[in-house]
Amino acid sequence: MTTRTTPRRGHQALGHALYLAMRSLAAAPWRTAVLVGGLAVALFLPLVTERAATRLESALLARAEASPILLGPEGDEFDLVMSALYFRGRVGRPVPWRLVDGVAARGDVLAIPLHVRHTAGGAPVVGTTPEYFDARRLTVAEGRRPALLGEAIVGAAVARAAGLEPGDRLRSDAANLYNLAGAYPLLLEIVGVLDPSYGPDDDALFVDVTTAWALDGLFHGHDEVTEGAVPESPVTEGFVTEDTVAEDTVAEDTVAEDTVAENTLTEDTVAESTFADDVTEASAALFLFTEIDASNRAGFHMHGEQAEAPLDAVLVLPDDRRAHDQLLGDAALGVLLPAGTADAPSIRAVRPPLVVRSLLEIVLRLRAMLRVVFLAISLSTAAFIGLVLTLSLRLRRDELRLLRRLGAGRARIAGLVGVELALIAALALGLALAAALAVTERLDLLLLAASG
Amino acid sequence: MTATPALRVENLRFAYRADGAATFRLALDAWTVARGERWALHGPSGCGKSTVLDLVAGVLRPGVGVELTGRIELDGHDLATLSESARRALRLRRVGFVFQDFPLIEYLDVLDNVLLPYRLHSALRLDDGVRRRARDLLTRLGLGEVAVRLPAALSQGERQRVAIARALVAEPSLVLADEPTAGLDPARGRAVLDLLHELADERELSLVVVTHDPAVRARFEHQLDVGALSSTEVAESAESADSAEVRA
Repeated sequence: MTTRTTPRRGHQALGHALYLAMRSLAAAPWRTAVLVGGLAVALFLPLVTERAATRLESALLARAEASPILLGPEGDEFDLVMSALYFRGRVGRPVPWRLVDGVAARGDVLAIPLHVRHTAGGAPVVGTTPEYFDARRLTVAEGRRPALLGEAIVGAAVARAAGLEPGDRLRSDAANLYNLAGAYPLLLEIVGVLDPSYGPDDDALFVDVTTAWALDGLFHGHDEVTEGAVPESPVTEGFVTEDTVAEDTVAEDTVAEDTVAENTLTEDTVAESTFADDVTEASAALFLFTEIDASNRAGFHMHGEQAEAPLDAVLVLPDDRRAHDQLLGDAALGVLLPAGTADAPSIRAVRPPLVVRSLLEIVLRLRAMLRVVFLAISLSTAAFIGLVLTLSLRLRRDELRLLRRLGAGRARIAGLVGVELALIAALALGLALAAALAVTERLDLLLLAASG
Repeated sequence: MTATPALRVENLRFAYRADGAATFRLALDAWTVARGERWALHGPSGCGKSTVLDLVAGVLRPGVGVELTGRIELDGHDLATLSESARRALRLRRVGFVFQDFPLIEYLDVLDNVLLPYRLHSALRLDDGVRRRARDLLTRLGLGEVAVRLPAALSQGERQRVAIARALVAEPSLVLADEPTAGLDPARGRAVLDLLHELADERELSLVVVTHDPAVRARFEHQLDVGALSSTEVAESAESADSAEVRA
C-alpha cells in the first residue's frame, strides 16, 4: 500500500510546489526577469564559447581527417593545407600534373588534383576531377556535375548567396587588371548546385581541371592563328613577346588580366603561348574566346604537354595504412614525381590532421583562458543571485512563517523554495541555450567561411 | 460512552529558557474542550495566550530553549506520541487556525488562498470535491464573486473572511483564533465574532479564541485566564510554579 501511495503523493507534492512557484514567479515579473536574465547571461557566455570552439575544432578536424595526405610544393605546410582543404590563400609554385599520374600509377592510392587559383563572383573556383565529389561525399541537389569544358557546379552557400541555379552563367573574376598578356575571364555555365555539406565546399565553385587551365589561359580557344605572324597592333606592339609570354604562363600564373566586354571575343590582346618551350605567336587580330559554348568548345586546345600543366596540390587517399606509410616514405625520399620536360619544385607530403591539430592548440589555449574568465564571471553572478535570493527570502519571511503555521514542514518549505529556484534556473538555462544555439548557428557560417 | 473531546490537556508544564534559566513559565494541570464548546483565552499582553494556542495545536514542541512536559490530546491523539509529520497532518485535518491580522499569500487568488493547506501537506488531498466545498464556503461567506481576485484587491473585511474560510476548508473539529478582533473597529470585530459563532453553530465546531478584550470575552460561555497560569519569574522552580486546574 505504501509503495503505491508514496510516489503518487510525491508527484502531488511536486505538482503543488510547481503551481505555487509559478504563481510566485508570475506575481513578481521584474524580480523574476532580473534573476532569469542575470543567470542566463552567466550561462550563455561559456555555453556559446564552448560550443563555438567545439564546432570550430570539429569542423576543421573532420575535414583534415578526411584528407590524410596532401602533396604540394616545398613551402609552408599551413599555406598548403589552407589552400587545398579550405580554399583560402594559395601556395607558391605549382606542381605539375605528372605528379598525379605518378602517384596514381602506384595503384594503391587515389590521387585527386586540386587547382585553386581563380575566383568567380568572389568564390573560389576549384579545378579537380569527379573523384573529388565522391571523396568529399558531395551530392548534387539540382542539375548535374560538370562534364564539359566551361561547366561548373556551385556549392550550396554560393548558390544561395548569388541566387545561382542550373542554366545561369557566371564570369570568373579578373585576377590582375594590369597584365594584358594574361588570360581573360571566362563565362562559366552553371550546370548544377551541390547539397549543403556545411564546410568549405559550400562556398566554392567546382570545375573540371581543364576548365581551370582554361581560366589560366593555357587551355584556350580562338579564331585563326597566322603561323609566324608578327603583331602590329599599336596596343600590343613591342609588349607581348615570346619571352614574356613564356614567363607569364609558366613561372607565374597565367591569368586573365583585363575586364572583358560582354561579347564572347576580345580583340585587345592575344597571347598564344605554351608553358614549356613552344613557339608563341601573337597577333592583335587574334580573338580569344571568353565564353565556352557548343559552337567553340571543340576548338579549345592546349599548347604544350598536359603533364606539365599546373596544380596547387594533390589530395591523396591511400587504400590502407601500408599505402599511406609507403607514400610518405617515398615523398621523403623525393621519388614521387616522375621525370618531365620542365623544372618542377621539390614535392613534399603534408598530413593535414597533424597540421590542423597544431593549429587547434592555439584555440585550446584560448579556450582554457576563457574558461577561467567565465568561471570568475559565473562566481560573481552566483554571488549576486545569492544576494538577491537572500534578500528576497528575507522579504518573504512572513509568507514562509504563515506556510509553516498552516502545516508545511521545513522540508516542504525548502522544497517550495527549491522548486522556485529550479524554475528560475531552468528558464535561464533554456534562454541561454536558445540564445547560444541561435548565435552559434550564425557563428557556424562565419567559422566555416573563416575556415574555408 | 462519552464523545472524545476536541482537546484535552493534562499536567502541562512549559518554559522558555535562556542561558540555563527559565524566562517564561506556563503550567496547566487540566483543561478539556468538549465538542461544540466555545472558549475565550484571556489575560494581559505577553502572558502566553498565543503560546497556549501553539502548544495545543502542536506547533510549539520541545527543543532548544523550549521545555515541555505533560499530555496534550487532539481528538484523542496524544501529540507526544506522533511524529512531526503525523502531528502536522493531524493539525491540518482537525484544527483550523485563524491568525491575528488575517495574513494571506498575496500572489495567490482568493480560492487558492483558501485551498492553500491542501498544497502544503500530503495528508490533505486536493480534488474536485474539495474545490467545490471551498467555493461553497466562499459563497456562504459572501465571497463567491471575488474568488479569482488577488488579496490586494480585497477590502479588510473580505480578507478576514478569506482567512476564516481557509481555517474551515478542511472541515476541522476545532478552530483556534488568535486575537481575531485585534486592530478592528468594534463593528468589524463584532461581525467577525458573529461569523465565527454562526459557523461554529452550523458545523458543531469547538472554538477557542484568544482575546484581551472584555467585550469579546463576554460572548463566550467558557473562559481561561492564561495570565493566572503563567509567570515570568526566573527564580521559581517548576515544582513551585503556579498552576491551575481549569474546568468549566
